[in-house]
Amino acid sequence: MVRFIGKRLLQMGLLFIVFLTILFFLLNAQPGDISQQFVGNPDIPPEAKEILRARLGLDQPLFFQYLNYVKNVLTLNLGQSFDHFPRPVSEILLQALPRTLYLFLTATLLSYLVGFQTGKLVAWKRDTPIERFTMVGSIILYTVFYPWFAILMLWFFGSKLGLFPLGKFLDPEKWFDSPYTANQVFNMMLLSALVAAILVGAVYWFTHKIVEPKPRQRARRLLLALVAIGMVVFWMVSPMSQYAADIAYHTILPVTTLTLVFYAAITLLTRSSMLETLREDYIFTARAKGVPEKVIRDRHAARNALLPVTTSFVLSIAAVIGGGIVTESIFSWPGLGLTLLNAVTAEDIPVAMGALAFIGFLALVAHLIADILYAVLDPRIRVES
Amino acid sequence: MTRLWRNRSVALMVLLVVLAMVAAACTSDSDDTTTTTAAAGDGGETTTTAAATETTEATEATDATTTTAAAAATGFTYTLGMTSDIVSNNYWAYIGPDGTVYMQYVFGPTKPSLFTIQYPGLIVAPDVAVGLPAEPVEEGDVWTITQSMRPDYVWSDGSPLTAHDVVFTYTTVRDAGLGGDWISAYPYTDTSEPQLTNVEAVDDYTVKYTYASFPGGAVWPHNTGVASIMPKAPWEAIVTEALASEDPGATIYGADAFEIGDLSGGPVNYNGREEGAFVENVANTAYSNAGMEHIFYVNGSYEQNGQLYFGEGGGDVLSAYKDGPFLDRTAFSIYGDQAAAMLALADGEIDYWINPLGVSPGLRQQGLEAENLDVAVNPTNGFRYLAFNLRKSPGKFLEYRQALAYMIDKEFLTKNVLQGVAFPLYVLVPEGNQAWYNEEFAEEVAAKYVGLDENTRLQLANETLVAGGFTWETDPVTDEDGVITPGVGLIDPDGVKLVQQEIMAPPASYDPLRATAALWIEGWMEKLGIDAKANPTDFNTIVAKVWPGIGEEITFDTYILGWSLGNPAWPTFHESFFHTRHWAETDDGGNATGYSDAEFDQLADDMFALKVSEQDAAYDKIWEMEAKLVEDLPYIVLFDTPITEFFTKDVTFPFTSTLSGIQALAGMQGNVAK
Repeated sequence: MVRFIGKRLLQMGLLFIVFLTILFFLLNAQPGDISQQFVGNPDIPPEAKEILRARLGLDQPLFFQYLNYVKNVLTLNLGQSFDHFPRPVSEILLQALPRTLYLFLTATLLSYLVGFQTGKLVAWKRDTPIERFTMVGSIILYTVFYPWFAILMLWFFGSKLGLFPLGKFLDPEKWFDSPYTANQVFNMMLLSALVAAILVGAVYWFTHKIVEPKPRQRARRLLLALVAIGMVVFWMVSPMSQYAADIAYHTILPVTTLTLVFYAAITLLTRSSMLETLREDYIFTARAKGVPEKVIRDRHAARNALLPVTTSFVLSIAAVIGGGIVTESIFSWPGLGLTLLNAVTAEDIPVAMGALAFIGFLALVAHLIADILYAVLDPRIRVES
Repeated sequence: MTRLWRNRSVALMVLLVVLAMVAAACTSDSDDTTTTTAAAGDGGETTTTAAATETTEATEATDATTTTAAAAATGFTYTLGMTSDIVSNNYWAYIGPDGTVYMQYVFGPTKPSLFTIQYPGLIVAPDVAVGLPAEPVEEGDVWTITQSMRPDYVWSDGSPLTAHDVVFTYTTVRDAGLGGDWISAYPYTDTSEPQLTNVEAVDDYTVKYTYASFPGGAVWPHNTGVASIMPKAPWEAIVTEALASEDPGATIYGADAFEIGDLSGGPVNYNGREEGAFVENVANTAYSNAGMEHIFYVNGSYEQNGQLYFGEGGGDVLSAYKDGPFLDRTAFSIYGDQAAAMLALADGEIDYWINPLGVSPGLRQQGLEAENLDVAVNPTNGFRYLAFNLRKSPGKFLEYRQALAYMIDKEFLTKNVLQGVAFPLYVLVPEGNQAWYNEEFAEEVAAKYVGLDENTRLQLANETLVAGGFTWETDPVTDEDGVITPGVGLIDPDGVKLVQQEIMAPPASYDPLRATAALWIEGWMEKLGIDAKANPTDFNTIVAKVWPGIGEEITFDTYILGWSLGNPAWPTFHESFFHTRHWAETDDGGNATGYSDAEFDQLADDMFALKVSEQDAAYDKIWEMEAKLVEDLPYIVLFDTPITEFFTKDVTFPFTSTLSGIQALAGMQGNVAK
């Protein structure tokens, strides 16, 4: 296993360097540079353009710029933004990251939870109206033109019914005199979610040692209730609570929209994986042995059908970091996707490269995790490798 | 995972967390009320309550066209929707490399200048200065201007704005080598013409500028006189530190202006932002121009606080208003998408959508149908044009350009093809710039082209080409009814058959109007026997081909782009676009066509040598230049679109008919009422 991971790490490193090189030359292949922003204003003299180019190092040969870039990335320095000069790129990315993580992680987790359950159920209830209805719904949601769907959701729930805000992640009126920045609140929300997740994990870890089912269940419920109460008390007394609530309220519509679309894909994936599993011999064996249907579905079939879904989930975490340019634009959610879009539009090469390098790196890590998970979950892969 | 979700304890936990959030959300309402009231107190002395009843004096309208500041309740939040965030809170960076139109909306009204362009009449009027711009005086081999300043003008903290602030701004720009618009405002480089070599404080309220050569009206007051003045007190330490550093510009641009307590001299002051969500300005309660009265007369005259600054006064009033600020704060709410901004406007979430880009027909219709919205449609200070490359055939032949001018039916293009969303142009000065527009001349030029049918156009174009020495492989044929069959294979006067001519235009995704125009122009060129190809080209690619850099060869055939024309109160764009000294290959300047005409250059130089007090002479020079250009046609000016803006009926602007719309005045934060 160690050798397997070592080999994958080496491949990852090489691939990352190649990725950075392609990225650099591809982005620099765009005609012009950021100094062209002055072209449209006849009042700005050409000297201004030259001063800007010199300040940003754009008057240097491209290869020299490339060497500088690689050196900087390897020393974890992503440089300064052209468009937000002289702000460091890392600061801009770190500013956008929690917002993207919060929105897309929530949507991804929800869609996997709901999608897996639905997929499992419809595979089990094959050729019933429930399956047909769910399949038609899922296919519609999976194939819907997403920008149109998102605007429709915004119009219907935000404007027509007035149930939710029309985009953005906060209500300015509530934040004018806030002692906190939105990112401090986002970070606290993410941190508390992480702590809760760790505590839940710990509860399961410690209680699984209890052999008897009933005491185990009781212990779990008690400990989980304590975690829940702790979280509630924390947010009730936190001075950040009103701001967190405002963000949570603004999250509902984009998360619902994203979840509906993501969930459809997971449902379809789980269903087909389940259907394949249900044809396996061990399912027939279990039935022949008289194992209850619910146990066959949940413990025999669903657990094995989980393998491709788990891989898809891990890989989607990398996509989460990239965010969604369309989602962030329509819901005015200034995360990494919108940062990347603005950077490319403004020819802010360092920010665009930084964002893409970051996303690329996380995609590689996600692939590594997926590979390891696969190897852990499916011993045949370990044996073959 | 399944088990986890099904577990009742987990479900209970999720439920409790949600309940906690809801409880927190409910308790936050009462807290908000408290904080908002506190903020109003912080923002200044104005008290904000729901029952604010204080009103400003309404100005009587004396003419049907007059728009006035309505009786207004003071103390409100003016909410503007914006589709892009600002990239910095630093005013130096805004005028420098980070300058965007969105930065202008936020920071434009925060810094004063000696003089200001007063809208809607586009008159140069004193702001910090006393009286009209001082005249340049020759002192040995330099020219100086000594300008008096108001002793009562203060920054937002109440400290006086003095000549030392003006000197500080100039020396910072010069010593730190700041770029962007700072160079045009304070032309300190030795390549500047004329170079601003020194600015000194004669006393606290008198400032003296020294230029290496004569500063014409375009420079004084229209660049240096209207340049922003920065407060010395909060910035002095940063600038000193910057000048001792390796890259002074980076240190100055990188400073957090909010943290160091930057001051305002305008009606509002920047008060922070939440990146990607909103930007906040608050009223400057110490604003020195608060209550100032402005009257514009139909005859072009302008009166400020009862004193006449331009024209002879009297007659019907075009616009009369008072300066505020009447608001407590401006909130710029940021939307990632135009559709979301329009939804927010129609829902009353924002008062006005401040938007430099114009709206798509769908959103425009949505705005027109919304009952709570008013609309303002205004001409813009710009134009879209077809440019030739005069360095090579066939663009270098005057008759070729003239023939194409005959063929392009702008009326048909704008009314029939573009469905009336654009209006045709025949001269460069925009019709909306009433102070400088010559209606008679423009109509005379238009009369040459308007109303011609296609056959007549083709006939005139062919005759022009023949007169210029062009021939065809297959000549055009006119039948007995006078209908012309186009020629094939145009050959230039040097005997060379024209190769395919490329028309570069931005793609439909960037600007459908220019993309469509290019296709029609391609068709009209083909009727002249020219193999033409409209090529949708990325904006940056067009720019890179048209302005490839000093010393590079410029090889394009034709392109379609547009210009925004800068300061409308003293137009200098003719010189920027067509003077020989601004050739793209030698100066990286605005003259991309390679146009060079000694007579035109002389006119442009003459215009630059005129003082601001010689506006009539400047006007004449501009129209002499226009006469040369409509004859020589380095550009064929095509059309422009009006800017359509929507705002809720709750807000009142002192006027809405103004060049480039309300957005050009940063949403009129200093005058808007609600």
